[in-house]
Amino acid sequence: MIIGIDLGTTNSAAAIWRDGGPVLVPNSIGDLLTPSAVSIGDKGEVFVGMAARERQPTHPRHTVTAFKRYIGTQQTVALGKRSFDAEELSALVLKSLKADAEAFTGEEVTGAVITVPAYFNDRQRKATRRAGQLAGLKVERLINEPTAAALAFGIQTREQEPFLVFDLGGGTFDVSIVEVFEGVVEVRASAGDNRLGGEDFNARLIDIARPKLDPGKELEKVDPVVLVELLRAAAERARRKLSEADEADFTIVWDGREYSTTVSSLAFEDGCAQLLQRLRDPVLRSLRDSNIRVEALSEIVLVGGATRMPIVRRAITRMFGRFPNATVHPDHAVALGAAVQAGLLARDSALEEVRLTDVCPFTLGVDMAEPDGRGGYRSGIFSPIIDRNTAIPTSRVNYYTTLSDNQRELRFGIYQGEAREVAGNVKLGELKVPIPPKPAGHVSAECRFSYDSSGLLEVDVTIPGTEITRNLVIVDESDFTAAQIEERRAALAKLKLHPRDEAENAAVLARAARCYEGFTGMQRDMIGQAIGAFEGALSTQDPRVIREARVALVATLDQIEGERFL
Amino acid sequence: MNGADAWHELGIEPTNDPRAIRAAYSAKLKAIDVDREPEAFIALREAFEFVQSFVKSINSTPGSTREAAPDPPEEPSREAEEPFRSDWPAQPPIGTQAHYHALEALLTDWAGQDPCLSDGEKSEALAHWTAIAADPHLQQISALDELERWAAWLISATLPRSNALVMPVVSFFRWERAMGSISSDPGVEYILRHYKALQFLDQARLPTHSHHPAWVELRSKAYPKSNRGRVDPHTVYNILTTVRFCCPEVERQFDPLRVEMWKNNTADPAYLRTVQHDYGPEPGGLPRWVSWLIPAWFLLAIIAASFGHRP
Repeated sequence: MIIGIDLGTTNSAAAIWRDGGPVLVPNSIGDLLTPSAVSIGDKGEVFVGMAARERQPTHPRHTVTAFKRYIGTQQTVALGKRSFDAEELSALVLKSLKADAEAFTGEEVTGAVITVPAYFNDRQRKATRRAGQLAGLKVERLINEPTAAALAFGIQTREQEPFLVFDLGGGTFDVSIVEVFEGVVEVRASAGDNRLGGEDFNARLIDIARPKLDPGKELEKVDPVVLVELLRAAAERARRKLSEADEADFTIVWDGREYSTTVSSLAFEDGCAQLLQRLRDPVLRSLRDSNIRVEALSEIVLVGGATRMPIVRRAITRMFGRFPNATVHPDHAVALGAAVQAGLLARDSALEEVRLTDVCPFTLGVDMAEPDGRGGYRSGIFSPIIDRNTAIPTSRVNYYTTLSDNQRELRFGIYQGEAREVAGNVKLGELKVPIPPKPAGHVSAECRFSYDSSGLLEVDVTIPGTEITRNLVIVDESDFTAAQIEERRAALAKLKLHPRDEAENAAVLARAARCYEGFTGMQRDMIGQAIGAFEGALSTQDPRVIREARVALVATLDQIEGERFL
Repeated sequence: MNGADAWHELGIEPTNDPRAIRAAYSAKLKAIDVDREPEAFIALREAFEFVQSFVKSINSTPGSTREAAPDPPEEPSREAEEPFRSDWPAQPPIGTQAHYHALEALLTDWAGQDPCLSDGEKSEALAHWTAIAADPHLQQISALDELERWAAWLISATLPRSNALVMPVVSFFRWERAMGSISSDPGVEYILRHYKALQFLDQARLPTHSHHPAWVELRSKAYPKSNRGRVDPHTVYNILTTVRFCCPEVERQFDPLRVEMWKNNTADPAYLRTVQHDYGPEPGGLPRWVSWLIPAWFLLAIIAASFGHRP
């Protein structure tokens, strides 16, 4: 069966299409969201999800989160003895989601629809696809996150005037304008910012709180890796608190000492003014590209955990002059939409009357040179072939001619981006075509770009009047052969995953350990005792005793730090 | 693709009812498997887009009788939904109307007078702009969009008279990030070229800048018997051409005799290259003030060249 997966910066989720509707898959500890976190234990075992997230403050050098931010790059993180790249870390999360879905349905999961931010570039998409392969999943389709959310929202109706999906996640921001008519869910335009999300708001909060936190500059002695994690966890807590209150404590504990300050909602909003301003550009661009006026939008649909922040909601309300629609679950909509797409691919009868058309959110083209009017040439000019926000699949052609006499070769650099000079765009590949020697301008080449529904680009160049044709399916330089993928998959499979049925104990223990370090005085003693009791229960190996002790430990922790959040 | 093909592809008779077109598109779309037959989808999509834009142009042209459907019930409502949008707004957007009109008048009414604003007028223009930019309505994205179009139009059409506004307006809309993008507005691009030039001139005033000696040279008092200073001629040309293109009023700060001395070399290819490449205008779509500058430069260049070749 095919599952839908929302592979998020902060949290991930899986959903399946069942009995005519999308259903979220609970994970091994019963949550619908799985933190996108990976941690390596002392014995080399791999924790994924909640347990890994809880280990972050206590084991910062063995834990990693937010790795989606550098997927598609060569950057690696060393966790214990082994180093991982973002693809492998994503694969571990995907694997855990796959196991959850298999446990939930009792069926084998073979394929997946994985969501990516609409504004992910070609490299990031390829890397996400490889992550799926590494997890042993056949990636049936990559689907844009706002499109998935729109699909989940849109299949509820048959007709819906244009609406705007505002998707501010943990690390990325996307806007899509979508319309539904006669059962066709049609994306009119997408735009986004790959580097804007909840994590940036946390960073601002840290910027505000850090100087007030220790006037004595004692924290400068702390290992920076540890300090960053402590600050990040504190910022996340404070940010959530600010969603409900006008003021929040920003507290970290290090070496048994507490450092604390308060941040007001007003100061936070001030500090985030620039981030809030950056929300405007993609909105404006998608409106202009789709040629739809703000007044013509029927709804502003909020998706993504960061849209819960009151300062973001206020900014949206001001921007559109009305209240957004917050009826969609911001953390679930994307995964549910991916499951709808999975149902579409499986040709489920309930979806017979539904079709989806998406767009290519960026411009694709080649580089060229043009006469500069003084007898020379200016090279490196971007010549667009597929304009952004063209409905996909699509196929477009452009013609190019030679610039010099007896030119023997045409070289097409293939680029993606919006800059007029290719230096400002992302290079996807290169195609060289030999040509017959003739005077300048006498040889022309037909360059065809074909872009399919999953975002795979194929380039064909033919020289009319000759037999010469060249074809290139874009694979970026770091692409791997099937054998290499298999090798990496096997290497990942060798890693000892922490057993699924012990996941809940591991998560609770990790949380308890974090709390133990995060509190002082009497509270710390209480936590210490509760941990002792739970460890005692674990050694009995009696499931009933363990469950009771776990409930007791969770109750203690909830009482001390408030309920945990995802 | 022609019209007949497009209607044939959609399988309907020509109509200007958007609903009928969508219904036909939807029915055809459901009949094909997009993943297996991408060509079929591409052809259908092309027909759909062609027909849509055709119908839109018909519906927005009142009195058009061509291919009118027997009963186009919602023609008026479609028009109300997506009215024709001009990129050159005749009316300024909402709020602070008086400031808009005053600023427009200040920048456009200058027939026969000095093309540059006086210092008093400059601060007046800035005050108007500050008032406009502080309008709380601008938090709404539609109002901001209108203002952006209006500002791009007004400023690009009135440069260099609107020089004083370039810096604040560019930073308000953060246009510098859009620099060099394939889809940016030509007016904005033009303003950005001025913006770069103005920045360059500002920096040349700092003693650390490579063009500072040239700046000093042009400002130093010259006498009939003075010689040109020992400055890289290229830097002087850069400054002179930039000033003449972007802010002629700055030339008043230079010594006329000194400028005259450097003019002798304006036929130098380096001079012309700067003119063409760095901040020079490109033909077409330029504000009117440029039109009298271009012949003036050619004239200057010709005169300078003929002097230069005298034995």
